[in-house]
Amino acid sequence: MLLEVSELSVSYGEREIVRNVNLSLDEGEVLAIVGESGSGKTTVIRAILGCLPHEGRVSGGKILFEGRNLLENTTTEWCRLCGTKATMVFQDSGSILDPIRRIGSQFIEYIREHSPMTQKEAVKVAEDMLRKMHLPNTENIMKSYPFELSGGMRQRVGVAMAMVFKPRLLLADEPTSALDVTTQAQVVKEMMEICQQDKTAIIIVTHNIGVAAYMSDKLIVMQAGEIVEAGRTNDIIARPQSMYTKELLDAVPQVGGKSYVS
Amino acid sequence: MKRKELVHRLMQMVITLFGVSLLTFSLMYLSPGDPVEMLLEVADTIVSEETIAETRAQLGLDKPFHVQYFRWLTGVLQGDMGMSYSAKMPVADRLWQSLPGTLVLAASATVTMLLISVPCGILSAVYRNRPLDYFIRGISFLGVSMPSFWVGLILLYVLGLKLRLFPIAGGEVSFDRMVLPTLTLAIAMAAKYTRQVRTAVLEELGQEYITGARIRGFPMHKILWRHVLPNACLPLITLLGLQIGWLLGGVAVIEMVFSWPGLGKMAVHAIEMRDYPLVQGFVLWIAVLYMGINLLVDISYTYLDPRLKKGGC
Repeated sequence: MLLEVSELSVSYGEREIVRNVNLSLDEGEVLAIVGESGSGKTTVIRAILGCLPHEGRVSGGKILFEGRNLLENTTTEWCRLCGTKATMVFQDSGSILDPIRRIGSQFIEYIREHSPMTQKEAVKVAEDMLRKMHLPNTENIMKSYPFELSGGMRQRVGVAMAMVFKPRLLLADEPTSALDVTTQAQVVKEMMEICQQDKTAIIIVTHNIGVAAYMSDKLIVMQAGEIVEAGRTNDIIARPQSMYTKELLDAVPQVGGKSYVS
Repeated sequence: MKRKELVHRLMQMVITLFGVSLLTFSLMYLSPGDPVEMLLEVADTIVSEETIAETRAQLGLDKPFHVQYFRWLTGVLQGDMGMSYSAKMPVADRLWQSLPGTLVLAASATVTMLLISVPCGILSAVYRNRPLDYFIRGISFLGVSMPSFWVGLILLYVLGLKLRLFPIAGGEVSFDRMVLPTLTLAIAMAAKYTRQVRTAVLEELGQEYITGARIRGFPMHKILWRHVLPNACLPLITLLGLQIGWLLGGVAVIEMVFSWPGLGKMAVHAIEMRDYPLVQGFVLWIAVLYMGINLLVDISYTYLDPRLKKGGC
């Protein structure tokens, strides 16, 4: 078992936002967490990598990654884990980059932080990675500032950076929600390809149950901070048990009487 | 900044300068007190009406307001700011004489201020709402609350008079005479600037790219030096520009307390003596200075912030 989260609760100040979340993930498996905004799905994956905003803190439970409880990690251990074995892709990869530094310089800084590569080697690795995400003109992209790229390009850069160290676990927080439908499909596909090559396990958080169904082996449906349904994706899509899941599935637009989900 | 914008800015500056000079000229004209009497009183002799009238005519003060102003203006446009009544030398020379004192003091105060406020502000932000932050904020609150002339007098009394570490008398520019005024200015400015650094750093620490850097596994100290500080610098440069402008104008109160031979002291004396040309020259210097620094700050932004350089806004 690569990742095992048990009885996880997260509080913001006095308010408990997430209660008793259990999930587990094997190597190379893809888990999707769906739910409407405010259901606590993003909070769960942020808690796993210890990056809850301001007031947030884990108020109960365990997070075992490769058998170690992450909640007992020291700062140094976090730095060693984050960015190499476990990484994250955000909704807008542009905003998680320093706005006044070029993408190349940040990419190279990141690579060299976790490896003994020289500047030249790091440049090559970075450009190879960008090409793997089907980005044209990698040299230009390396010289660009985050704000100069389009949303789709930014997400591809985000995925390229997240996958450069072939992590065991990739957490993706609404990675395609800010993109138009065509770009969404492309980025998801490219991300899946790289992860399958490297046998990286993914937890993807999305409100788009279509994306979830396309990508995932397992599915968790969350509502108001709790899991309402969990299991194999195919089973849930075919035979949803809870009312809430049924509503979510019904909300998926149908074209010509055919649902996009299956 | 594009060339067109620059030309636009320079034209704005000329108009502003014109307005500023007209305004001070009128205020001086309207203020009570007669420069001629002031000038002749110094000699401490009784002067006849004729002498007064003669001097007045000599200085051109018998002419109507607009004639006086235009005479001054045409002079300035030709590079002649007129003669200082009280110093009996060209205004430019008089300003030039006091400038080094002010420059040296401004430089040393700015450096000292930065050395205090930048580390304190960063520490305060990083340890937000913890004892160290409360301590630094408390001290800075105290610093803001104390009037600087009072701080100056206390420093003079304790370090100068009681402990005899530094000379009390000013009058010339030298290192040991500079320590106390520098300290006084630095305390007042650092108290303010520490809070501004704290705010700017806190603002950056709340940004998403900090989370991004943490997720990429950077330790906090590297995030702070390589990402937070360069970004926090942007708003701080504007504030620093204003501080430096204020200092270069000569800090009258501090210069008076320490009898430091700078522009501030000169200006106070010029006003007392109704030395119109010198006051005008001084005001012109301040106006040019502020606008120049603001322009420099804006230009520096286009180099420091790529979003402005390429965004074209």
